[in-house]
Amino acid sequence: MTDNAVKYPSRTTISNTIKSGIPGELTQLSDQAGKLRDASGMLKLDVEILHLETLSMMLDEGIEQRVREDVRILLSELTEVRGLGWSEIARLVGVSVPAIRKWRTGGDISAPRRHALAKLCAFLDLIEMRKIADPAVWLGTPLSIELDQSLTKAVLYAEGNALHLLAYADDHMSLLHLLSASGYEMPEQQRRVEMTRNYDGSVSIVPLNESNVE
Amino acid sequence: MAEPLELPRSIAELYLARVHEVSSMRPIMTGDVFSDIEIPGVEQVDGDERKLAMVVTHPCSMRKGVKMKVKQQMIRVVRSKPVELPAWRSQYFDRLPLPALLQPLDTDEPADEDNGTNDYAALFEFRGRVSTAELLLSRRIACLSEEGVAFLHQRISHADTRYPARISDLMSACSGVFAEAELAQEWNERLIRVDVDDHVALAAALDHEALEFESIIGAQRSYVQGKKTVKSAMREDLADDRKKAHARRELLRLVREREK
Repeated sequence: MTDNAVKYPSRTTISNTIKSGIPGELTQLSDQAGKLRDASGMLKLDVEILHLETLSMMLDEGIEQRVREDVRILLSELTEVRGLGWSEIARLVGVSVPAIRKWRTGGDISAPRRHALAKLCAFLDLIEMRKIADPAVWLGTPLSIELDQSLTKAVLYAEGNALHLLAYADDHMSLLHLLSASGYEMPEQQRRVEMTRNYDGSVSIVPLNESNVE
Repeated sequence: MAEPLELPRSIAELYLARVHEVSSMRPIMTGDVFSDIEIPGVEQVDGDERKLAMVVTHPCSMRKGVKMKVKQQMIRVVRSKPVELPAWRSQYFDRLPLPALLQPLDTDEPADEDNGTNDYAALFEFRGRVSTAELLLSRRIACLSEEGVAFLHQRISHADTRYPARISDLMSACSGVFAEAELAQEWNERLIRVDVDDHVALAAALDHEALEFESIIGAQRSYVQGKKTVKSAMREDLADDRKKAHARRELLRLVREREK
């Protein structure tokens, strides 16, 4: 620690000061604690930004490699290796299914769309590097059993939250923080229905109420 | 005042395919629009010169095994004045607006194109049972997407009961059967070699491949997932978010083997 570093009191000093009830010292301590809180808050924010920036650089590096590959190979990888469906890919990339079908048969693709496709491939590569065995399953499953079951990681990805999802996959971001960073609020997203399979294989949407919540 | 219904993010979101985009290789599904269809018991309506009709039988109820049931429920599709997207929320409860039905996109951009031409609507009141034999693939002019079918279901159930299920819930309930239809289309496109304009040969090939597809997708099989051995049919797995990707990979691997 340098001479310029602020010297903060120990927990014992603070505790003793509070017990002794000396008003002047308590005010001073409170000021110091407040400044420390501000400093640590700023540090936390700086580190969060730094983490997202490094993730962004990793993703960009992956995109740079993938964007050079043949679009048909990228699409084939997404379906046959990753196990995504055409409709799912269309939602994740933000285009229509006919557009995807056109690319599959060698049709023109614009530079922003090629970039979006390469980004999805690079994102899944990074997810896999985080010891997630099946990135497509991870993407397609709900964020939490306690939440609205339609709120999947794929929904957040399609809404432009790839970096937050990478931080979440790294366990460096809590679910609450992920939701907040993605513009969702916990209370409004709670489960309201569940899907039940019927005797004939069809699926019914059953509203959850107090009597049938597990 | 709360508005009961949801609206699509764009017009393009409603459609899987329109006009020349429609593939004969896709199995007939809810939300498909056919031309030249007489609906028994449904009188002539303004704007129905082409006798367009949409299949509204639920995707889980339209087949018995591989075969389609002999009749399907259909509703009349007519030319209609344009409906602005915000009006979807609180107006036109008696219909599913079908903007730009006959105007496929020639771009990969998700656009909100709507110049008022080619605007149609599916009218819930004009409903009847049509022989499945009438549903010739050569007469299919559009297919709704999963989102499009969910909007159909939300509006039609609201029209009948005044209870609108959420779009995301409706999509979850049908996700397995749509995944299956998409894979069946992929299977047919990659394995059927006949000329699509030879309707007789195509129909025979589609029937044959439907049986082959069913023998795989409907059969119980076991595989190892993590530390567990799972026993289930591919069809069941396609309806399960945790198993869908595995089932899709497995099926596409089989397609690739058969292509050789």
